[in-house]
Amino acid sequence: MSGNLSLRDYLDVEERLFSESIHGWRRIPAGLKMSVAGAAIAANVVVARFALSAALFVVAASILVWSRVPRRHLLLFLLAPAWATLIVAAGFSVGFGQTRLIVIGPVTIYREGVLQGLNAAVRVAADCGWMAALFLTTPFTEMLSSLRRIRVPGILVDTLSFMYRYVFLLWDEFERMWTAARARGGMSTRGRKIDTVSRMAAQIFLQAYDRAERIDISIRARGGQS
Amino acid sequence: MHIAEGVITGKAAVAYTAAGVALMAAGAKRMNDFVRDHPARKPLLGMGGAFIFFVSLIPIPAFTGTCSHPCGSPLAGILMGPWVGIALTGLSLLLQAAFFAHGGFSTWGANLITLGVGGAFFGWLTYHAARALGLSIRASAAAGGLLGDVITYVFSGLSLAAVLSHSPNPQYSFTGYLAAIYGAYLPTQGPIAIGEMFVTGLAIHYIYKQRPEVLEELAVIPRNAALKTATALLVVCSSLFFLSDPARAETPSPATSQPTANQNPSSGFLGMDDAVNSKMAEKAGAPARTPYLNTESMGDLWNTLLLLAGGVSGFVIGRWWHTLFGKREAA
Repeated sequence: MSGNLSLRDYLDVEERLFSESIHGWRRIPAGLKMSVAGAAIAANVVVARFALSAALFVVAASILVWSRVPRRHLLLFLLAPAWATLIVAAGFSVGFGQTRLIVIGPVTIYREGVLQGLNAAVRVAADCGWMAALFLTTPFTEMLSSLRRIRVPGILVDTLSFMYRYVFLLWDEFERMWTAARARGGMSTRGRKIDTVSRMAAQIFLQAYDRAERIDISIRARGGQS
Repeated sequence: MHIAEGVITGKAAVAYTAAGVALMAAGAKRMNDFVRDHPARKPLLGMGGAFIFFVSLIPIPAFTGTCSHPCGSPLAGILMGPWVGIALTGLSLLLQAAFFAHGGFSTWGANLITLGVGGAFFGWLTYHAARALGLSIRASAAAGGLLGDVITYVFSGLSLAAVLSHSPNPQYSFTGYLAAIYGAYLPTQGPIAIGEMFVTGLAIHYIYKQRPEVLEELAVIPRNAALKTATALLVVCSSLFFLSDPARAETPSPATSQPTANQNPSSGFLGMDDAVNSKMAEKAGAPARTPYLNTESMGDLWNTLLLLAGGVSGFVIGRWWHTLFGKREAA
């Protein structure tokens, strides 16, 4: 479950980053933004105090407003983990504490648990705020360049770059197959749906395999090394 | 199946992240080895990673009337090997956290251990153990998908219970939290594991049916598996032929040394066995005995067996002709 975020939304984010004028947090170099966001998330997780999480969230929100990030993208990014956070907060409310707040049948909600749940919710909001501040203002290619500069193993960066480049393509192919299969009754029963999905996964894998060969040939044909 | 952002904090988050980085370093080393051995296959790692990320987005029926997303890591482990599978799962988790808020950066290490080690490694291990036991590719991959998922949930429950039982004001002990978590997983994750079992088994089966050479190249199945199968079938057919051949009988038997209804002695032609071999054996003091399988007394069974063996051998050679003698050149 991912709220309403989809790959298509992220492609929209990328298109906007390249098409619109550069302003706000977008002007800051990607490496610096990654360092600041990483430090903020690390502090938020390691210290895990309500006041710090709230302050970090406010800073992240200010950055997003300053960068004029579209409201739709911002809401999608911040609300995507809301359902999981709700479950975490509810679990903390009944799973931790000693002071009884509410008793509903066999379920007891504790005061300390509610506070811990609230703390976790603010922590998630701060983390997601900083993730949004990074990903909604920085093209992925700039982040990959920064990763290379800080000596992340080249094979990992290259693979991440390939993944990012081709996952949209694979997803488009999958969506076409999905629509075609639905139109031909391939999703009519649960058993048939599993069979159809498996066939599509196999097909996509084989296409990915063949495409990898073609990419290698095209790179070498142009004098490069894949 | 991800541990949500915000659950793991403090030293535990640091320790999990450090363990995740160590796993990625080991995975990166194996990826470098893979690229050194197969330089032309480097883009395959990226495509494999994209495929794993994509698989984790596919909606599968969860047998409870809802849809959910598979882990994808058991399939990754089976196709790409355990270490490369773990590294690709780690990269996929980064993209999932960035694009969809699945999991998160603070729980990335814990998720890599549960999905990478639990899913990719145990999925791969189960698949190969099942193959060694002689199960089919489909059944082995399905077992890998199921057990990879189940171990993922086991690791996830252990990680969460360890963290929760050491949080402030815990309600339960470690085992109490573990029981509560597994109790919650059973109705929600159990059906997903069954769905992933079918999808993993069938996906590998369909890849094998369409392009077995791809699985051979990725070492999912041993090279020339088809040739080995054909050879094994030929050996079985030959053994059947040998064992059921009455002429190879060893112990003497007066009953079979006599001409049967089909062998008329007055016809003047007894055949090689009766005219030469039997007489030579009798002279040597080793006359024929009753065969273990006396097909002579079973009417046309012997001819039928010969026909059947010929048919099976013809099918095997025809089916794997390209493996034995190479593919026909495309026009």
